[in-house]
Amino acid sequence: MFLVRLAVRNLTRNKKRTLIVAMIIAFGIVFFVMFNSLVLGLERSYFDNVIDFESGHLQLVDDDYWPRQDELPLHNLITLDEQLQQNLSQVPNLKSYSPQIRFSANINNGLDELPITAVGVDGERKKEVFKLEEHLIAGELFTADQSGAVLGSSLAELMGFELGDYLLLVFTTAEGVFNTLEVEIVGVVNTPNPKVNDKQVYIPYQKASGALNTEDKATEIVMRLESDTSIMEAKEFIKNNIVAEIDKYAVYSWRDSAQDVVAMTEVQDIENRIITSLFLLIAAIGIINVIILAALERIKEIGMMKAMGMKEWQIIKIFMIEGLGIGVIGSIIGSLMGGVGVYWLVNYGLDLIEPDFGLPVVERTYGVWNLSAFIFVIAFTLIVSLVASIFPAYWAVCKEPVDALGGVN
Amino acid sequence: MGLLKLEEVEKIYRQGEIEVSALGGVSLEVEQGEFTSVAGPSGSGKTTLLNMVGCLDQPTNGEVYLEGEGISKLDKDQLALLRRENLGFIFQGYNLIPVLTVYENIELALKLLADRNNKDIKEQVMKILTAVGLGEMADRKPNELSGGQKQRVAIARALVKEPKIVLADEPTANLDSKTSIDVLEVMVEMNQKLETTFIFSTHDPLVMESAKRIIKLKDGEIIADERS
Ligand SMILES: Nc1ncnc2c1ncn2[C@@H]1O[C@H](COP(=O)(O)OP(=O)(O)OP(=O)(O)O)[C@@H](O)[C@H]1O
Ligand SMILES: [Mg+2]
Repeated sequence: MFLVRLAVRNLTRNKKRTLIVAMIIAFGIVFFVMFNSLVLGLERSYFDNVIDFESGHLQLVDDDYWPRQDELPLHNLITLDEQLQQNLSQVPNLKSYSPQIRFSANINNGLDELPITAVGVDGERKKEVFKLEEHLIAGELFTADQSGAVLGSSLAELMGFELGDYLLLVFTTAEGVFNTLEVEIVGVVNTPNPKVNDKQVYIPYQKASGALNTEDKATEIVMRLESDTSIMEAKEFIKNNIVAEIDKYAVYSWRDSAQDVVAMTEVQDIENRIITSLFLLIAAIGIINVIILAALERIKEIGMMKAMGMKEWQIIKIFMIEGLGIGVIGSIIGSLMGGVGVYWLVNYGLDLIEPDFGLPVVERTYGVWNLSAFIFVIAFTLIVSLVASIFPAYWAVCKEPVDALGGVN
Repeated sequence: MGLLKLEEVEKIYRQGEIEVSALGGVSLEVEQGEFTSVAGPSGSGKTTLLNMVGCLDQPTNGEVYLEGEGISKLDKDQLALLRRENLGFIFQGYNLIPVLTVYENIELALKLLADRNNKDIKEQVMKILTAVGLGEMADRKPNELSGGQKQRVAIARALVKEPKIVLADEPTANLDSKTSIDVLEVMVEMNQKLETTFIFSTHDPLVMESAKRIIKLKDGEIIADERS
């Protein structure tokens, strides 16, 4: 206890120095927790964008379709028959599902043509699975028996389309025959997902099936669960009960469809770690520096303590407690400031403009609370401050007591 | 066997190729309760001698016996324990810890010893502080004291654990002559009251004279050993 009291008092000898190093540590912590919060927030909005607009939680597809889905082929499709509907109704925690048929088409406004992805969907079911309705900026989603098209806002703007205009889709059918479809625009969406905004056109499922000659078949059945914690369970169920019966079907989670995004977040995770290590290195150097300076200043006191019969490890302990003390002060300041910073990120967000990253995010990015980041960085800081003070203290203490006394003669 | 005995103690310092003989075979005995000064010109080996006696450094040749026990066979930690229990030190530069109060500086010496409760410690510290005339200043920090007062704190710190020997290397060198005499009087008083053995080095003839025994050194040899 006496050693602890002495160590704490020692920290007040040069308050400025103690505070500067503690502040360096604090800023490291602030940076870490805010960066971590933002990365998690970004990650969550990537993932939400994929789930809400591209893949749902789970997809049932034909196993041969899956690897070639980027080419948007019209074979190896899936039939939503009575049996399958019955089976799907058994899936635990399933909120809704919807068949859809995606195909590549050119959109024509009478002057220009653009390649886009057209999606035949059941408007009613679709809004249960995806969050299109919330992001309508004009008009509405079509119902099952209606005709009409919904398209992304950027695409509408680019082609000069307005509500009530007719757009022309040009495409090839399943048999490879050219066909066209003229549809009235009934809705425009502006979603956080740039893919939807830039190059998607939704039309009624029946209409697409008819025009493509695909006999009511879907490219995939997308599913939304009550919560994303039950994905594994539902996936297992589908594997065991549906895929087991119809061998050529396969079930994939949103993670499987968002491989590149997942990979991206892993890279960010590594960046995060590198930056953190650098900060902790700076913190360690700061602490080593302080302990060396303190030991030099106190070389006579150390000699006196040794003369009085203090053992070496006791003196080292004093310095270690001092180092730890700096770490504690830095951690307290850092987590308070970091807490304020994360609060701000969570509530006000940050405008990250990343136009060419190809990431499915256009909105403001909001932070996420992650207590484990705080715990991790504080634990790490404390360990680093302890370890960093051992060596300079050991060096100072290993001098002979007479050397340390120096000027006694 | 006496309290302290030096037998043919030699100390050679090596600085690269050059060897400096600081002590050349010193033999000496000190009895319990003696008040001894070590005198001699600069470089004569006073500090070196006190370091040997204080077990702060090992002799190159010869042996130091404390109550009949040779110290050369002890390791660092054993020497630390030996100093902790038997020896008190007073330094020219006081070497008080600036962030601790007068009281805490003295307390430190007792905290190192095992098996003392806080009540005993407090009693002992206040007793010794009163004895050196600083009873009122227990809560002051060292930088609020004069040089003479600081050295009295250092004396109290050396004495509080009632060691067998107190070693003081030029305890008055930083003090004016009046304060020097004051500090010395405190030491004499403690020597008489507690029967503590004092060995101190000095340049100052006035200080030297107050000792009952004067050991004179020159070039690392004892040239005189007088008792009055
Ligand atoms: N650490 C050391 N390394 C090398 N030589 C040393 C060392 N300490 C002392 N000496 C030498 O040993 C001799 C005795 O030194 P010592 O310090 O014991 O003298 P002193 O009598 O205390 O002198 P002063 O009155 O100046 O304090 C001197 O020649 C000195 O230069
Ligand atoms: Mg000297």
